[in-house]
Amino acid sequence: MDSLLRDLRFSIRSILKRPALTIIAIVTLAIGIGANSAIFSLVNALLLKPLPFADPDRIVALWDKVPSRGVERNEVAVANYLDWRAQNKTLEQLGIYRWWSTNLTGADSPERVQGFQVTPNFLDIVGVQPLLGRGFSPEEDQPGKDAVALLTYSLWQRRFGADQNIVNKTISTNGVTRTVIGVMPPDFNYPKGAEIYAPLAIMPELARSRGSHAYLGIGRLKSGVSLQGAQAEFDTIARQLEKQYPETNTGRGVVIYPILEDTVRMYSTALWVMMGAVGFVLLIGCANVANLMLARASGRQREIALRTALGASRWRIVRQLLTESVLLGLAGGALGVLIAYWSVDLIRSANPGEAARFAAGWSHLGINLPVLTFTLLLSVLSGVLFGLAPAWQLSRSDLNSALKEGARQATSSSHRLRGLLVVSEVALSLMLLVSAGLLIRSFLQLVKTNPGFNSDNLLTMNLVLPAAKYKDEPQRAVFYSELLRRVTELPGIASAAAINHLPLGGSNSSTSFLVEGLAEPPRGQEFLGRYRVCTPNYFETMGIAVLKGRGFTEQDKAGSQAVVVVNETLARKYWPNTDPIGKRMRYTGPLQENPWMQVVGVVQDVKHEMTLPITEDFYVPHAQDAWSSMVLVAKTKVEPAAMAAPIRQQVLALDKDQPVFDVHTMREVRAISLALYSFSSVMLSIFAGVALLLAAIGIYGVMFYAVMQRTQEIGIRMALGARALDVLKLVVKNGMSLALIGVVAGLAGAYALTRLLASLLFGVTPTDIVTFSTVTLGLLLVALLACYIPARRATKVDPLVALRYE
Amino acid sequence: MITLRNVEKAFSHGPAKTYVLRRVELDIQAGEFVSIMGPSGAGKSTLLHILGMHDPSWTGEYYFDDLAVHSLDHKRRAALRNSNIGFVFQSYHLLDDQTVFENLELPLSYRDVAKKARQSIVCDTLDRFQIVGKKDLFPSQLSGGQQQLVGIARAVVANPRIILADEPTGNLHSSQGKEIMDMFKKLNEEGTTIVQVTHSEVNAAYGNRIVRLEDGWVVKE
Repeated sequence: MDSLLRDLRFSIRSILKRPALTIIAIVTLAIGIGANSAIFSLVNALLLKPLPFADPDRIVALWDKVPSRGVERNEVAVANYLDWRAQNKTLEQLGIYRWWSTNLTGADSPERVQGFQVTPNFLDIVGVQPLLGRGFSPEEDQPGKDAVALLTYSLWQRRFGADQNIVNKTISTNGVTRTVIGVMPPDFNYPKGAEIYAPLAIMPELARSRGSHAYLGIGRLKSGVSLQGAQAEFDTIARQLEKQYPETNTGRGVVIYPILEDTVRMYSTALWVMMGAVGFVLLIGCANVANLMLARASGRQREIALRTALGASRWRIVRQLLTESVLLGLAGGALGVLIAYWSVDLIRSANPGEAARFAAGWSHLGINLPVLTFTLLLSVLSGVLFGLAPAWQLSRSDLNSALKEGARQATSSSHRLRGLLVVSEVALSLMLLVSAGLLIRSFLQLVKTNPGFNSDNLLTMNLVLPAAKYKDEPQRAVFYSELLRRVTELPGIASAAAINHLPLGGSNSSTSFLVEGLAEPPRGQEFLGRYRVCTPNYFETMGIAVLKGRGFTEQDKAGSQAVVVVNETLARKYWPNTDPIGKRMRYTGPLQENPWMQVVGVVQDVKHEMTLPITEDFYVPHAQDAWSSMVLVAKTKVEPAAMAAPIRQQVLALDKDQPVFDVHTMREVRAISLALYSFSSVMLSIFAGVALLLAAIGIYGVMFYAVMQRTQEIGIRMALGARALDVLKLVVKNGMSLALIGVVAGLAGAYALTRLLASLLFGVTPTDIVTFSTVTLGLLLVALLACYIPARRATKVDPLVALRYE
Repeated sequence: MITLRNVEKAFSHGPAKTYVLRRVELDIQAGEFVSIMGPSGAGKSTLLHILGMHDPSWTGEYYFDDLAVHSLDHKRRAALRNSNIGFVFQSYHLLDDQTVFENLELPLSYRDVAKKARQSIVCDTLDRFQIVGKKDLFPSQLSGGQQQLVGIARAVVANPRIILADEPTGNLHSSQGKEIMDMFKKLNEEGTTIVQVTHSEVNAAYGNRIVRLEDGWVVKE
């Protein structure tokens, strides 16, 4: 203990003795450690502990799957769920839930809140009990007994002022009066975005439905049952259901995922890639500091030799040196925490892709105990990592020659080690730069891709008419028609329309259909199309070109000829060589319920998700299929955001209880839809930039030191006739050969590594030759510059000074 | 071959000046073997480096074969040096990480001699200095005398007309020193002009002329 304290004391003194080197080392480490801590705080909050469950390892997500169509995750049909529940023996509990946004009305202004309808066992499955009141009781899934609700802590605080007597009070959701039975604990808001829960009432007709796939499955494994065991059992059940219900279940299976994996699947790859990237940055930083330490080590050979001569064991020397480097690591870590704190603030305020709403665990994002522990471990590890090479180097120096020569010469193994560190830095930087390059190119491709509509001056907002108030289609049709008429008359509005699923808005619905003149396809191979409901003027408002025929008009109303507008991809697929206008299609099912619809127009293809290929889409007029949930789009003559308030006023003027929500300009919608890509590419570019800078400093440092070490040699060469160019070539060749070895290693590494990025790339292959070659060239240029500066210095060596050793 | 007129070199310390060389007048004819002698600090090595055109900061006139060195720019001086002058150092100054062969090849590579020609010249030189057996050895594997022999071989490999040697036997014991001086004598007899800086009267006796320096002045020839 005493000797350790002495080591510590001496280390502090030794570090303070060289303030410049110490500051450079600490800042370099702080950048690396800070970046790691910041990204780890994201990983910890969003990937490691995002779910506030008691026993998350046993909780699973269940999905329907249709492998023949490449559908790996499809929502569950209620009748199938009931069969799974009755037949399985591997799950302790099985439930379903679905999105349920609701208009909360009452004393305050109407508000759209995000909720979920859940089977009553939902809270038992996730293992969480309410903070106030009780959970749902089993009979509350019966129609008529389901008029109850559970509030999240945040909604209770925000909307109800944390009223301690809220339990048993009533609230109005979508015009239905419900009794509040409880309030959930503060950190519970699963599924992410939830503010209110209601029991899912399973009506008799719903209990028989195998065609309507709208529910998400969640279950709790029995103790001791593995995921594979449960999957095998559900495979058997699915096969039985296939035989039992071939009409609806042919080709359908069940897939079970751990709930954590299922929840974070959208962004886990991106976050792990970022974690890897900052890991690289830290490694490069450590290599730089190790290089600094090696340079310093050559000046400490005499000191270490003296210590050895005085009886210090090799272990004691290594321990002394490692104490110094770990101290530096800890100082870097302390500064790194500040950098991380600031970075996390930036990330939080950037809120990429509305992560605060949709990424589970986002509220836990911050510099907390796990992040501080991680930082501490990383600091110590970094200290050991960059301290090991110089410590090893110094502890094995030859006592006799070190004492004789003093601190003048560095050994050739030290040169080799420094060279190796530079090679590693270049290789790591190249891998990082290639990855960042691929993501940037991918993002640029996405930005460049024409979505098929014009985002300029478009304002969008969502409305959902409550079923209790707007019971039938005509009522809903009238509401939207009147609202759009009023909005269109507002000064500042060029046109207005509404659609059920806004392009790039994230929601979607598809349905199977039949085409007149084509044989009905066999089960499992139905014609599928994205199904859109829109009002007249939608195509004009969005700037979607009508290529043939016409868009919808006020004459396309309920009771008149059923009409449909198709996109060019659908037209090309089903009427390849004929004019589709006048042709007919209809939804799959009995003809009486699904009459033929006549194609009246063909419109330009529109991207509904920027990263996915164009699919077959068809549009039907809202008047003939009056959805309650629509997105209003308004083309403005002024700044679109400025029209949000006037439009909202028109909505309230029509129905004072009707909220609007998710008000965004179309440019924002587009940005949100690309957020994961833009965030990943920006973050990775920052890390790659830092890595490049550190690598350049590394090469510069090594070459600078090499020139210093070789001053006499360069002087001799000049005395023997070397010209400035010869000296320049000598130094540059030396540095560039290290850089080239690094580049070769980095290219091989990048080739292997970038495959992991595949799921984040769009329009660029993981081995994109343009990115690889541009980045390589760029890195070599930077390396050349980093070599050139010390090389220039070498040409200024005065042979007379260099030879003065004479 | 070489004419110095009123050559001076000084270091300024604020308004004061310290002279290292004062009004040096010197003529060296082709084929001479000149020894520069004098106490430490007399300016011997400085004079040698001015003759070798390593030192650009002096005043006066320096003619090499009637060419006014003092009015040549850096590039032309380097070219003139490379084609006429070879250097031998007291501490040999062989490059540690290069073999004997590579050390000899170095001056030729700086004179843009083609690789094949280089190899042939180096082989001839190795033969001439009877060090063929040492060609693949590194300097650290040679004795001091052998290293200086390689140093001389390196100085002559580019076929200079004059060799400037700065205390070439200063680090050698007497028998090795004699060997080296014999080599200089032989080179001189073959026509190479030699200018050496030495403290040794014995070594100076190998030459045909002694220039003595004291406090930067040429005191005796």
